[in-house]
Amino acid sequence: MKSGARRRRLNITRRAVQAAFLALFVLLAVEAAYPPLRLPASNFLLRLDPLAAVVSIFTVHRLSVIAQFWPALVLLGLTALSGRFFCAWICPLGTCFDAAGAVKPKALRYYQPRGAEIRELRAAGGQSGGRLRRWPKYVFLAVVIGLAIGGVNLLYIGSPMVVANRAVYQLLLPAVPFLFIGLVLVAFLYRPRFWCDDLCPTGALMSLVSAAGKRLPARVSPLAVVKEPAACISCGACFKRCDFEVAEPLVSQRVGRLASVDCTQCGECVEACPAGGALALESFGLKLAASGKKGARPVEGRLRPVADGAEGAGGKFVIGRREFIESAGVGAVLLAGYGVGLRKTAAPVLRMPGAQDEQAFIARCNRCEACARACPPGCLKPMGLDSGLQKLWTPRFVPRQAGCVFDQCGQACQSVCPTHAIERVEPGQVRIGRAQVNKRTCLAWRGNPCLVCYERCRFNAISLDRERPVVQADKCTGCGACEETCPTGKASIKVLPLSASARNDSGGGSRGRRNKV
Amino acid sequence: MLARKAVDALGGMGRFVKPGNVVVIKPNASFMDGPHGGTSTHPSVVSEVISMCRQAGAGRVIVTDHCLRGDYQTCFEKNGIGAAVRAAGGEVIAYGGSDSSQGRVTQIPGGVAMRQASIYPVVLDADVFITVPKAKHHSGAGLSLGMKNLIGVTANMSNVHNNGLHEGIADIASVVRPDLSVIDASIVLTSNGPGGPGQIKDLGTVIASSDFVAADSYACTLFGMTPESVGYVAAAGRRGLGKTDYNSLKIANV
Repeated sequence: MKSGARRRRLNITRRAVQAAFLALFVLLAVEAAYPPLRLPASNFLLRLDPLAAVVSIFTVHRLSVIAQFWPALVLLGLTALSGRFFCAWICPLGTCFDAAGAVKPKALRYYQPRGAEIRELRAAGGQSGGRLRRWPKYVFLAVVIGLAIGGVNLLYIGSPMVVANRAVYQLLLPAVPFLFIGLVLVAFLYRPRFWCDDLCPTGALMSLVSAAGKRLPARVSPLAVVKEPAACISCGACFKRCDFEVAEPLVSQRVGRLASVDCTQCGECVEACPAGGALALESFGLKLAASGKKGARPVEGRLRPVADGAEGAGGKFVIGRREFIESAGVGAVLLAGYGVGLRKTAAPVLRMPGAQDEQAFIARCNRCEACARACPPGCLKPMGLDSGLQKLWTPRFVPRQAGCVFDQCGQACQSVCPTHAIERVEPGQVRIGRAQVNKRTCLAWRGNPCLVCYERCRFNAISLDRERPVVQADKCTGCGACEETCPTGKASIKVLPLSASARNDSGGGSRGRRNKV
Repeated sequence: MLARKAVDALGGMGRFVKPGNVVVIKPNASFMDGPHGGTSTHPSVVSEVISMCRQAGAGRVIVTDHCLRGDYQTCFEKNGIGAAVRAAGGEVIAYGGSDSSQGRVTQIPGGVAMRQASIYPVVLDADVFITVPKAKHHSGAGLSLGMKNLIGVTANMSNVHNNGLHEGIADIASVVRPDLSVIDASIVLTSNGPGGPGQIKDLGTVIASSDFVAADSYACTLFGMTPESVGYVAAAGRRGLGKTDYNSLKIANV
């Protein structure tokens, strides 16, 4: 009983750590809003995703961006020593999946291996060194990186931090975070960690990194599952409990640290194991929890240990590392070309100050919506599908919603952006777009007294031509105070993206037509 | 000093403000340039009116406006009115930018341009309401005077402009009806109003009247215009909100 309580304590500890990180994550995401207390590092959890760091190197074309991702670098270092511990202890999305799994009714329980399968697995030797198990995530990783080289950012569906942060933003709006709900539903109806184990590209990157530190001993690892094969009764309880279906605690014949690239050091196998001394969770060689319950009986079947070195042909769903690297390389080159093509077709959209290079912006923006959350007047809104998947959820500046107050807020959007998508701009240099008066609908141009836009302009960019507003192109910053407050039903003065307004200014065609009407 | 003389000529502030009254003062405070830009009410006029109210025993003296360019705090500091209010013992309850949520929808009986308007409760709930505008050129309305100043007590400006500005101003005036109008015509903007920068003229005048239409009408003449040529003044006169024929009133030059 005593040891049982101790083992539950490990589970409770992990749940508590997960809950604490989730709470911190939500707090920082909510906190990004202006004006409550602004923590200087309010986006440090967003910069914890190592894949975001890798993608940023390619999209920002500056190696120095890596410095901004110091939290991710620290995490990668720890990953080399402790595998994907992030997934079981820190990841906000993983925590939500675990919660969905915890409330799952019995009827929805995911298939669990039976004795016969466990025996088969034992005989086959489970996973073996040169093979990648659950490979779709590596393909996704290759796609994300390949497209990033070409200038298309897929982190908006790939990074767990981004998905979770956007979910917080959307829930606060309120809007429906479809992707988040979909993933949690999959966790609820199917395997809780299906996304993490099979698809998550960030997880795939961590799996690769943890492979690098695979041979390091347990005493240098902050968190490691350690096995003593002599005490193992081969019952398979560990394998049945593992959300990632890692077979290593069952099949490993080596004494010491288990180093499966997909192991998250959650310690569930240690809790499940009835054999005293077979499994333990250790930190730098210090036992945090050990397996074994007094009087426990093997759960399923009584397997005999197989002979040492029985690493066999491997499971059904594995491909070789070499083949994978080759095909991933070819795929990345193709995707990079595809990305370049996609990016070239990007039509200009109104963005926040410091994001006027549309191609660079859509490549860098990971669509976490931190900026939209931070914008004091709320002038940024995620785009829908109107410009295709390529711009889905990228923050668009909507002046009719609210004008941009860059001269007053100190570029709040820029200060929370984790990816260099928004550059810092001196207030005097800001050119978001340019306002244009629609003379057909403008009250003043139709002979009614109205100067609301003129009164609202903080930059004296509207002059009067016989009591009618005219935009001074050289002074207009595109802040949109005029469009926001224009009294007509549809704004008669609108901010257009710079390149679009330049086209309209020089192209006599549309302009002439407009004047004639 | 001028404001005090003018109000004293009307019989002193005690005629309007009774002890314990909540007084709301509406200056032109929505632009950021100081007294010499000719766009905002001179801070000294605002502070004089406040101290007169204080001396008459007012309970609270609240200064309000809807600032056009950004937040009201910045605006009130830059045009110097915030400091003047603090020094004279008043308080600022103002609104800024595009926040139109703070108004209270108010019916306008007999409204010509609008049947209802969203007006700041602080103004509606005041015991005494005083408009203290800057007299200045206004490219849209001709001149900006005591009644034009009242657009700043509405939370939703689009409504006024959409439905005909001049009648709309008269509609608002008919609901909020200032008890006293003190027009600052000291340093005035005579072109490129209301925001300037434009030509500045020092008229050295402050007009005070219990009839806000008459005060505006008289102010028109300082700019060489007639009350009939300024749409909203004429409209208010037609509706009997006050007299455009200011000569029928007793005028005291002080």
